[in-house]
Amino acid sequence: MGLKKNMVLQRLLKNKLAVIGLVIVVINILVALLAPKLAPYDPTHMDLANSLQEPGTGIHFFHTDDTGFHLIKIDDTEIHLLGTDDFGRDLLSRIVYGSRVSLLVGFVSILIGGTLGTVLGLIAGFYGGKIDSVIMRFMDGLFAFPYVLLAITLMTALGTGLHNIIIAVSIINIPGFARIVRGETLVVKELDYVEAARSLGAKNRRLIFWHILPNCMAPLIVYATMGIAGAILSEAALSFLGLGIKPPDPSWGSILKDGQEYLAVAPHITTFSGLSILFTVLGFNLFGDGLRDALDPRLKQ
Amino acid sequence: MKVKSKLLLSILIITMIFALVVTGCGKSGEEAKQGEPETKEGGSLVVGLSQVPKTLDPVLYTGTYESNVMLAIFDTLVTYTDDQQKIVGALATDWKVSDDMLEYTFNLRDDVYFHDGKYVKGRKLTAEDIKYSLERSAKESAMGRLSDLKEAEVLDEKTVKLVLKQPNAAFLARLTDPGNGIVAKEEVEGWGDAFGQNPVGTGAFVFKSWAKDDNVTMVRNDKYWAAKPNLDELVFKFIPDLSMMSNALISGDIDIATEVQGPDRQKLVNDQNIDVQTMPGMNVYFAAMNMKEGPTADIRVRQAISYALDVDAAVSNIFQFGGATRAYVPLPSKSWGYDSSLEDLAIKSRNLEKAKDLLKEAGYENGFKTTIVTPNKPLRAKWAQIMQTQLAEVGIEADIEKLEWGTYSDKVSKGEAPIYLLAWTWYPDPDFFLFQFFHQDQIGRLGNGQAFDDKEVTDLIDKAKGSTTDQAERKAIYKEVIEKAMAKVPRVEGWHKENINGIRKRVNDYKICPDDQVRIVTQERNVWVEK
Amino acid sequence: MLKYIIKRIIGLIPVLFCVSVVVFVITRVIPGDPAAVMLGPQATNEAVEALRIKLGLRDPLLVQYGRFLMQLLRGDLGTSIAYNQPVLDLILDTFPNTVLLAASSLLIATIVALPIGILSAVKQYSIFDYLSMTFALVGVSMPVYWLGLMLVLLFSIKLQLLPSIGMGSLSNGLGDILSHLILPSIALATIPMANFARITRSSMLEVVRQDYIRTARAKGLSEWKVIIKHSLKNAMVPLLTVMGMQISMMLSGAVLTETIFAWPGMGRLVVDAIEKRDFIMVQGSVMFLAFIFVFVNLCVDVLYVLVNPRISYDNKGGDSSGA
Repeated sequence: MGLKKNMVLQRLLKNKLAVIGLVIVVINILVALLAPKLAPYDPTHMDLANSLQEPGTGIHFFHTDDTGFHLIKIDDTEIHLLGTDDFGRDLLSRIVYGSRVSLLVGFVSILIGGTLGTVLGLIAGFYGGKIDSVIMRFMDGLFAFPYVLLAITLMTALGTGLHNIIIAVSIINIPGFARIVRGETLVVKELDYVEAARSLGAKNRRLIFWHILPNCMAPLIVYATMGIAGAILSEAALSFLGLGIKPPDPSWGSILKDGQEYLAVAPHITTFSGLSILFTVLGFNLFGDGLRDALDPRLKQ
Repeated sequence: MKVKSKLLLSILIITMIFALVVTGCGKSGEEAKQGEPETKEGGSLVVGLSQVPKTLDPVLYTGTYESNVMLAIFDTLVTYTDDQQKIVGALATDWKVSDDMLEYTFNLRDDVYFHDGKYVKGRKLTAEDIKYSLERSAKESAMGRLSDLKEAEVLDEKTVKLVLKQPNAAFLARLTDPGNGIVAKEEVEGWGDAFGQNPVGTGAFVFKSWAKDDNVTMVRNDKYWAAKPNLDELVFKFIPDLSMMSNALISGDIDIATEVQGPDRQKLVNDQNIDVQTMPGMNVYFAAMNMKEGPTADIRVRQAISYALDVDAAVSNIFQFGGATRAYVPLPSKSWGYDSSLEDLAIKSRNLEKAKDLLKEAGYENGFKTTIVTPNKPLRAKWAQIMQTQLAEVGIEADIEKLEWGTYSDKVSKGEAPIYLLAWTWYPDPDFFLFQFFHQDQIGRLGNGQAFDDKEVTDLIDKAKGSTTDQAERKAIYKEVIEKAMAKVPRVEGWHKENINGIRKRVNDYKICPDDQVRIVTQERNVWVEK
Repeated sequence: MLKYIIKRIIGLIPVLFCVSVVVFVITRVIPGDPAAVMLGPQATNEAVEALRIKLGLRDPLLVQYGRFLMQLLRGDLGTSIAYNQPVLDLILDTFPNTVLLAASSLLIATIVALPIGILSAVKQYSIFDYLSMTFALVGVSMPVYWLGLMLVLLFSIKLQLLPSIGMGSLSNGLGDILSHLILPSIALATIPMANFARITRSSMLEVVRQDYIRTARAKGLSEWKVIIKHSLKNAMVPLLTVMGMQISMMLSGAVLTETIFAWPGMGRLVVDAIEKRDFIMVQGSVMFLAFIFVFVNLCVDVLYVLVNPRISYDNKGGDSSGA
């Protein structure tokens, strides 16, 4: 087992794109953890008189003739590297703190939705028959609900707020996990050593969690990594529709929404918050892609 | 492998550059004016509206985007002057009110004809039509636009008497609503449910066609009683996106853009071919504080909140491109009941020390937790956020609850909102504001969700409504109502939102109205266009 | 084959039943009521209550669900509360617009992605391959609504080339609609485009390695002939499956795209209905979309079996992974 792990790691590290993805993810996690240290301002601090400042406010580039050097001079106005939003809040600080919401929703909702989906998939796949039918038809029912609409209706029913986003995003992720795990379970349960364990008198619960689940882990981890990317996108989409976390806390989607109104006069708000979402999601996708290749070389093409 | 990471890097850089290029911006502007040219007949005028009407049947309409269109097709018995300061006759030449204020007798004009519809062919208007239309409204309007009407009696061809259930000095204001427009019975019954798609009235323009989601087109009514319209054709075009509407105005696709906002206004001001007209609207936006429950039941806390909020800063931030004036009084500044001397009763500027002292006196030295309830509308959502920050400076920790309208109105009506942000807009008669806000009977309803409970104020409001129809007398009573109400610091007034229209210079004789309704031909105006 | 189709159709009934339960429960849990929304701020409490009774909102939930189900069986989706028109009519007014948007996006996605996918596979590990596959990953990671805003910013606000909002009208000529169609289609096409390119590439690679392709090559057929005639045809199978899934994903993506571009499609209709608490409208349109979803998937499965006779249609597991 240890040898296998090593090989996976080696293959992963050889894949440059996966490493870039991993770096983006790690940077993101660090930014989220160190937000209070990194953010130049309190992300909720308003300065109503200095709203919609352009990026680079407070920094002046000027050219001295004798030396030919470009100098950066900082005068007494406050520096806003990425400018300010419509309430005069520092955009950089808001984006830094916004990473917390994205990652939290990404990880926690995949943890919850993934666990529930996995358990349902294991049960459906293992027991088969009526149990399988009931569970999977219900999953199909959830799946047939266009997921954006499902998320919107759930958020409208639950009300805005971080907890509710996590619940809504968890729920829309359940059917995907259930399907994947069920498919794997169907294959794994026919394997010889499962049969052997069964004939040695192992209980169903033990069979499911000690023998079948570990064998589903590889695709599950890949799917979960990609799922985090999807969950971050879902959170941003919900916040963008005004169904996200409560103000004044920043989330990338809500910053994006706030900026939409000022797209023509202050496009930096929308631009930078969107780039944050794009790069984070890209990071998880790159990493997940690499992970898939590393875990299953047969799939690498 | 090297190639791969280099490529990725260059993609990153390109994206960043794109982001920065796109971020730059500029601004400048000036305005030009022209002399008065001579009236010309003919031509077509296109007005942009932001929402698509669902029906043009007066009794069924629910939104101003529908009444805008209906105003051109239908007439009412009486109407407001264009500046909305006075009620004058329209289909009625004059009227008498009985001493008990229960009977209104109207004399009708003799020169009013219905449009040529499918079922009426330019028939003359009679008193029967008034009776039919108004009783229909009283019975069928879900909005209760004429709920005061008991019955209408036809005295002769040209005279009709309206009998009320109880005295109501604001009754005439009700009659000015396009929802109480006069319709022809034959058409309503002939079309049945489809009447809303095929309206026939007596107004300045005759309905011609309705391309769903795109436009309503009408042509001039040559026999219009007030004046022969100068325009050949009037088109209402539906453009749901407001910035798109401004673009359409600039490109000349439309002649009048309604509901111009913030950043767009600047764009229009900069355009040589466009006039921008601004008018304080018949509205007031405010934050009401619960007077029955929670810390805000204490007047000192309400005063403290008033001192803690910097309304000027909030209004100039929310409307950084213009579009509103600060409000001080619980009445639109364009209502005839408004008296600017009342403004001095308001807490006008921020004073954190005083706020803290008042909180201390009330026993909330360390502040308290509360909730600001707002509907999911951008302006009020912004104000809520600013309030939250400003209240935090005196230790009041406010949570923001942003709700959809249905939930919001339910919660506020039940008196469950500690602080709520509401916007109120209605007829210019103060009754439609003050009765709704401060009358005891309205406790448990949206307007008075804060439970403003004062017998004296209630009696005064009843008196202003039920004892006289004289506008000056009523204004004096309402002044007293406002003074007594404001003494209790029930709310923090926010702003009067301005109505802004963009008008192409080829359009003449058009003026924006306080109620933000588009009026093309009235007794005072007859819009015309240069070709 | 017919037996298989019939079996599948029967299998759809419990799925649709589950959808109806889910959508009914969720819409009734949503706080707020349509009557208050419809009548606005000035309505009296009595008027609101009267409207509630008229709309049947005061009936017991089981009665309401029963009514919903009975109507469904008759193919009736009910009458919209806010518009007072049959839900089906409103859907039929807007759904073609959504289909137009989705179809043009699908077209763009396929036209762009197929050649890229094929070329990447043929020139595996070339610069082109890396570049296009990196872009494809960026595409998969794209927040569609943000891309939409950026397109508006660049093409409508800065360059003033294309309209940003609405659909235009046929009365201004076909060009008007086409110019309105460009930006939303590109935004909506991004993710499927990226997915198609990836799938095309990987399935081409798989096919290229098969023996019969090697044989074809050995027989001296020209490289492109091999690619087009043999590889592509076989590579279409997985692409078809993904396309089926993408179509329903696009219906979801259309909700956001339509919101940004004010495209008068069904997504906007439903979001609007949720806001207005028009439950009947919401449940009706979700049922409609779910029906389209299962129907499209059924068609894809049937096509799949037809195209790929190696698959027996008796034991299809249906464990396709959605993302």
